[in-house]
Amino acid sequence: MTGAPAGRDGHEVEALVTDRYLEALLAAHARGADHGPTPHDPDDAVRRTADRLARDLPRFHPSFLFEEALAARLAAHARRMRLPAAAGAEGLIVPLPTGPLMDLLGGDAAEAPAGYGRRPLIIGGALTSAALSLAGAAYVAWRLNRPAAGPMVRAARAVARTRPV
Amino acid sequence: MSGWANQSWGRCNRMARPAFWKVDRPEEGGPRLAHLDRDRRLVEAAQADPARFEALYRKYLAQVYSYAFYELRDHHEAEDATERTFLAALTNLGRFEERARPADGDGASTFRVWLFQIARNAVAERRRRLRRRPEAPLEAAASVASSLDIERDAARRDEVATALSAVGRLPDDRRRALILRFVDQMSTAEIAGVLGRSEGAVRVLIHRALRSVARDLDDPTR
Repeated sequence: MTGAPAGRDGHEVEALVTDRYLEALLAAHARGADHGPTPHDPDDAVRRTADRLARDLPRFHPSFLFEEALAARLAAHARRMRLPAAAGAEGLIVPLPTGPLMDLLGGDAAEAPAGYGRRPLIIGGALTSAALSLAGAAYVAWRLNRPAAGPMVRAARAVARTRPV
Repeated sequence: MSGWANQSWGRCNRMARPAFWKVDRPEEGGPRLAHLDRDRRLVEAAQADPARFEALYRKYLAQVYSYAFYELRDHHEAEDATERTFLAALTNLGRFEERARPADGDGASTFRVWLFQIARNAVAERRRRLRRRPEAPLEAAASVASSLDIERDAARRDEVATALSAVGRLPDDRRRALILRFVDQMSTAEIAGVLGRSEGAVRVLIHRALRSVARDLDDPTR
């Protein structure tokens, strides 16, 4: 190129001309066509080097085995990502055992509604809530039956007993 | 003002227009903004259903692998970085936001820029781990991995090896910019996004890289 200003601006102008040339060159390569001269080509050395690199720098491809193995790994990862998105999928569905759980609840298995034992139960949020409720009820019962620690507590309980429910 | 300068100003003005400058043919009764990001539909499909990420994977596998291979010069390390890149991209795809601008051009892909930013981090992490290992010459590493892609012709192989060798001797930032431009065929705007530099800086980087390679190729002692 001739007449380019010197200094930093000169470098930027040359770089812009090179960039324009590369755009045209690489577009022609992508089309499988030859690139003809453009009105503002960079100097010979840059142009020849650009032409050579566009022709000679290969794009590498991984092995077919690697490609397919990674595709399978990504597919498995995608399946795992889809699970939490489904409603209620944060829990695990398991069958509810009839006997022991009814014993725990203080009921009679014979009185249980038909099909109760076969109903699936979502483990996770639901069972955690139930466990917390049971623990809460047990704690309240224990507190009520616990011997009073001081005169103020005894007085408060006496007042509570006299009140109509 | 020269003809080149006129073209340049025309381009600057076009780039400065607001994002609504390009409108597709009306569809379903009304105009809509153009899909500037060429991967937009594929990305949206994969965000809705992660199983559809495979299309993006197949499209960009060779590009990401090539970038990793030119950086790491080792087939296994490049595979490892490629795997980490795609797994991280799939995991975080929900957080990706398209930010294509008209100035990026018709074929721009902000997804590709985002993917290569991940690849760049994955490669940098591998390079930190491998720092103590002596670096193989690029042309030697390429001869091992080239069985599928480089023609067998001996003269051609010599030419490719010479070009690889000259590119391999470039400083990291120049080599990176050159590989993204020539091998991955990215626009200057995309390379600027990947490398976190201005477009002007990327243009200068590539121009200087070409000058260095030209000197290297012309040097009879090499």
